[in-house]
Amino acid sequence: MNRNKFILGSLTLAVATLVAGTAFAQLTVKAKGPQKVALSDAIRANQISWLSDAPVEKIKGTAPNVKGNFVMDPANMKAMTGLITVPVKGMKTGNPIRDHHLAGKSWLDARKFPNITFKITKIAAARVSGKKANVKAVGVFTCHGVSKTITVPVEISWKEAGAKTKRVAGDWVKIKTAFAIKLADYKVAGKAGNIGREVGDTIQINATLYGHTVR
Amino acid sequence: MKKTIAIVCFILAAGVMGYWAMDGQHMANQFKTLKVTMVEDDFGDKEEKKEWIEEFHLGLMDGALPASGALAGLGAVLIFLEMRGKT
Repeated sequence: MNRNKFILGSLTLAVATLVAGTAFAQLTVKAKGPQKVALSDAIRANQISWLSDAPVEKIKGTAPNVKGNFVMDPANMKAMTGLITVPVKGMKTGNPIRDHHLAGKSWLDARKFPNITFKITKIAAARVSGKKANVKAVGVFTCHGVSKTITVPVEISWKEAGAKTKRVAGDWVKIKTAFAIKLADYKVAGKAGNIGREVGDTIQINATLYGHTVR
Repeated sequence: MKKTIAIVCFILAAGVMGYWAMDGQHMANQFKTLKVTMVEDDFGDKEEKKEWIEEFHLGLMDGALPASGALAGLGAVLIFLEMRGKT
């Protein structure tokens, strides 16, 4: 009798979790069905910033000209996919010689590998509240010609089209993330002895990107 | 005279290194600095606005070390010449 109760209780809990998980992955917005979202600098300059924190010095950098396209279904944020592309050549560190080195052969080799990309393939978990979703995005991060599957936390905010969004048509979407990558994972060797001393062996990446729905 | 100039060179060399130490101790010259300000975006959230502003910071390898090295070297040469002139 107790065993049956336990099984029934477990099943109920599992079904409730499943239902809750589906229901909670839904944004409360008017848009229906899968929406194409494109990043747009007209909303705000899309820029990725990064930090190398090494014992000798901290190097702050930015990567402008970020491009990106996503497919998001507000009714099911777990179905999100997308691709973000960052050109290596425009990266800035505040020193033109260092920028040149960064894009050079011993570092990111912009001539051979002009872009860094992150392709979101699936959403592992989604927690949605109103017009905001916090998801764990699983995707393929490609840097320096090396691709690795990583999971990153992403916060998505949705703003429905209205009087304040007239300068760019469609609903607006903000995508925010922060994660770290290890240079060694992407076979970025740099100059001998640099990594771990002048350049951090891990690079902290922060991105706040703005886009809009397109038809 | 040479001794006085040599002392001035040593003081300037120490000054350059002191300035570098006080100016953030950058390894390379920093021609622009990333300025971060908090602004409210169209979503009503406070977000960081990052922009490069023209602000120079002296670097060790391509600024402070060559300059102070040259000054200290000049000071040493002058001291040497002064001592040679006396003997």
